[in-house]
Amino acid sequence: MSKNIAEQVLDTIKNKHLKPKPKWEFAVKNYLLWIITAISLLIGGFAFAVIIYMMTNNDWHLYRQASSSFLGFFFITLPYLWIIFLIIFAVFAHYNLRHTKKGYKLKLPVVLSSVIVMSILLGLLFYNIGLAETIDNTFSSKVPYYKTLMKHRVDLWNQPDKGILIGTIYEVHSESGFALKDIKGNIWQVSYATKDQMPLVPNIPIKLLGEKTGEMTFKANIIRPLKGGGGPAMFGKPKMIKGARMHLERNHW
Amino acid sequence: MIDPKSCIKKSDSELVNLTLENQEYFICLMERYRSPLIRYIRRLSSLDYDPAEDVLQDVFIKVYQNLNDFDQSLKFSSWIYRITHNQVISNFRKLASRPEHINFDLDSNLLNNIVSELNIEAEANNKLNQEIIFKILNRIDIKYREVLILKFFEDKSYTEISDILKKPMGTVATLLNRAKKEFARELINSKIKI
Repeated sequence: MSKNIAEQVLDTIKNKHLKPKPKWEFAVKNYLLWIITAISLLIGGFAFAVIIYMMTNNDWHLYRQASSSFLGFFFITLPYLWIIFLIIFAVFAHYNLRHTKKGYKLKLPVVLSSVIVMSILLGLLFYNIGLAETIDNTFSSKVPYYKTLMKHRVDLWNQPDKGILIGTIYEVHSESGFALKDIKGNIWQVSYATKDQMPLVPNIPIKLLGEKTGEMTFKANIIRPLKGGGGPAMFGKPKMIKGARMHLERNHW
Repeated sequence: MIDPKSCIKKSDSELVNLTLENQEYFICLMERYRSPLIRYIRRLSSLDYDPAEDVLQDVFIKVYQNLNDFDQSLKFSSWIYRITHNQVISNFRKLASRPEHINFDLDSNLLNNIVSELNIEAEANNKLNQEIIFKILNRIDIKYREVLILKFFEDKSYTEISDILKKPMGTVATLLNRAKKEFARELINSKIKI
């Protein structure tokens, strides 16, 4: 029986009309793996860009206002969701790369470091062309639960009793006062001595440092833009104001 | 029907190309690899001859269907061993059981190779018998067993093992190192007096 195994197989091939799979089928499979690797790297790059964006707009120097320790502030404000995204897609890119035709020949540290370096470089590129802010804002307005997942970062700055308040400018009354809509939809009357560095425009998310002077009144000493963690969509539907500028020039901030 | 003897002088790559044009040539490749692969399947899986032949039939059919995937920069033997290895592992998973015994065609040179590589005292060479080696190999993890088999029983190089197992060369070296240690540890745990 054993001496006929080759003949038996050949008979099976003939009887079942088996044919070698076409070359293109294998080529497509290999290209697909490369494409998925590239997409994973791109998403990893997006995630890294948003991480940079959030961490650079964290107002580190104001940490004492929001948290009792620097470490506490650091860990609360880490963009965990994007860090998880980065890790998942880096692992995914690594996995797919290893499964390309000759991917198994690559050494693990080489593959891992290449994936990490590529994600960092793409992240820096995307951040520099301003994609990170767009991604953050788009996620906030289009992706369900994103705002919930980012809420911990925003909540940190929403402690009026401690002298920090966030919201969007609802209406500018005068040179020294405006109305602010906070995260719960309450309207605060804010007074301020100076305009700080930024122009005050309706619907822009801002962060105020100062003191609570009454039930719904607040005196601001510092007014800063609120970036990273959702953007304007964090505060619900914007108030429609004729002629209002929706975006501020970066240089003004 | 092509006479396999007429293909003796042809290389594996030539036979692959000829098979893609005329399936009858596949018999030459099958005849060339029938014996070594049956031996390899039995060493790796502990199957008896007939079930091992069933596995080999599946292997040959897979090889035929995937001929266009054969990368000419590889050795054909590495590629066909890889498919065989995968088929055996797949069978392992299907059966979800470990073999009770192993039927190796082990000669004293192989035994000496393993023992000397393991750096076990020279006297052990004479006293370790085939049965002990079989039992020990059977006890260690498949990932270690397969590298030991490929290195010492199939006499494959590091590059070939890397291509067969689809692991980087460095990983193969590490695995082999650990496999030897695992083998030695199992030998000691077995309380076999040498």
